[in-house]
Amino acid sequence: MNTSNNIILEIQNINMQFGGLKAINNVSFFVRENEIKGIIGPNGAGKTTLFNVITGELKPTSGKIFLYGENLKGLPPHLICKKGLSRTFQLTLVFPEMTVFESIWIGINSCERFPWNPVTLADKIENILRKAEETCKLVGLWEKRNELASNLSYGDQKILEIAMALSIQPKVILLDEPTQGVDPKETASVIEVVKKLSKKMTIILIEHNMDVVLQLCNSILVLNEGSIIAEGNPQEISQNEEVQKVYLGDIS
Amino acid sequence: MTDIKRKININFITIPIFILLILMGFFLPEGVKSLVIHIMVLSIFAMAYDICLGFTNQCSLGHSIFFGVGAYGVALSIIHFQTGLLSSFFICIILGIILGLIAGIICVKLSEAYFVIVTAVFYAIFHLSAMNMTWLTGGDDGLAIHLPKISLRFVEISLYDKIINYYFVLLVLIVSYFILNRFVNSPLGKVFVAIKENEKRVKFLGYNVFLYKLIAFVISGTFAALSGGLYAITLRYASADFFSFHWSILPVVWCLIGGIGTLFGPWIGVAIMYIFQYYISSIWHYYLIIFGIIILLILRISKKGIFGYIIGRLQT
Repeated sequence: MNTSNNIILEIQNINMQFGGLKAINNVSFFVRENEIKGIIGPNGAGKTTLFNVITGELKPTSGKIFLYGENLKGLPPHLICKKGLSRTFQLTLVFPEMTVFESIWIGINSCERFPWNPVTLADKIENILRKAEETCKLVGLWEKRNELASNLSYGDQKILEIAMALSIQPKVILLDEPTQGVDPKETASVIEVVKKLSKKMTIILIEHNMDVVLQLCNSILVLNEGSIIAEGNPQEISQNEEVQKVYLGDIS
Repeated sequence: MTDIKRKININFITIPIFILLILMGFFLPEGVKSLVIHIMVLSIFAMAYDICLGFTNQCSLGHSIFFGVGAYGVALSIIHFQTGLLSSFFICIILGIILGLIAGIICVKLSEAYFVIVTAVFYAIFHLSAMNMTWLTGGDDGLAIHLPKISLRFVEISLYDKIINYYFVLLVLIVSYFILNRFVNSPLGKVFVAIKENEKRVKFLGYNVFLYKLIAFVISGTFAALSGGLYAITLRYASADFFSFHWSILPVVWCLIGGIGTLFGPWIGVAIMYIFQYYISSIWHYYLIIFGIIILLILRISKKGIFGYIIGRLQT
């Protein structure tokens, strides 16, 4: 695997406190360029909270986040997106009454110079249409481009989510359980899409399905009750006793 | 090159209607002509409101402030500054934009129920002030306007002539429609629809949702003010009643009957309401009861209103 040594995203001592509950406790890690980083952990371990903190949805109680050495702390979500950090959601957030193509179109438009352009007709802007077409084809939703998002199968909605996250041309993409609630056949196509992306960009992946994680990730981070309990490559993690105990189940 | 899924192009419906309206102007009897003028003026208000409710899902109960400010903008500038008709409309539009920005910056950040309440507070402030500041607004009695003539290079035309009034209003309606329709079909309009569909997702696609909702609110307020100005010109007076809750609720009703998010739908709402009022109110005094039942039935059959229902049928 051709991971270079450039650190692209660095998380330093993040703490997140909700009243008396410490959701994230002093979490630090970094992500290298073109790496697929898996984050696993039992429910309530703080994985999604960590994503919310990184993408600016929540303001961390303390700690710093650097993307290419630039501090992201305190920026609103839409500016963090503009810096090249994009995400999907655990429960799919699609535009129910818009078609697949339009949804992707919206994402691509946000990178234009005048996304608020009130004069040109939307279906006459050739370069956005072309990029939207490329993105549709890349994720394999081209045949379904005129379907309403709400009529797609759950697996396709997950893929559409990834496509929308991809459409803003990010450098890092955060995937929140892309195969949750998706049947095995569609899981395969979601994995296919993630593999395609991994050649182009850095991915952070939250996932419960261990097969998927071990198959995709270069490096894995295990969270439990807000703290990192292990970090390493797939072999190390699957042999780590503590991880087996809290997450994989006490088999022995 | 592929395209975004072909939606029904509403120009195929509206342009024949415009042509019909242009031709009808010469033949309509006086009473019906007033009715049609009324409907056209308020259609602009309804379209403007649809930008707010139907495209960015902001249910404002304070749009009467734009309507009233537009009406008084025209009335006061004619009375106190002796401006011509067109420059008074210019002032009215500027006032609409400024008020839209001020009210928008305060309201737009609030989420649904709070937005509704705060916009309603705006209406209350403006209505009470207008009622009490009789030296400026004339209060409930209102101010009568003496319409200045519009001077084209060779001829002077006067809006006291009903047929001139008709075509003036029609012209403004056509221009407003084409401007708003362009907005709706531009990238800006697509972002509006996306915000209506799922605000959070739009935020994580790198859009500043607040800014876009503010733009929608200002556009909506501006055209509502324009409509208020036209209404004052048509009736030749402006009164504090233009700020009343009546004028905040009506656009909601029009949009709901006609179909939100369709731009053309609200016209149907306005037309139904006023045609109904014109013909039935003389027969039975409590005609609003029937009207209420009709609204309930329409919304029971189709949540997207009459035009939304028709579009839904045509697209499947």
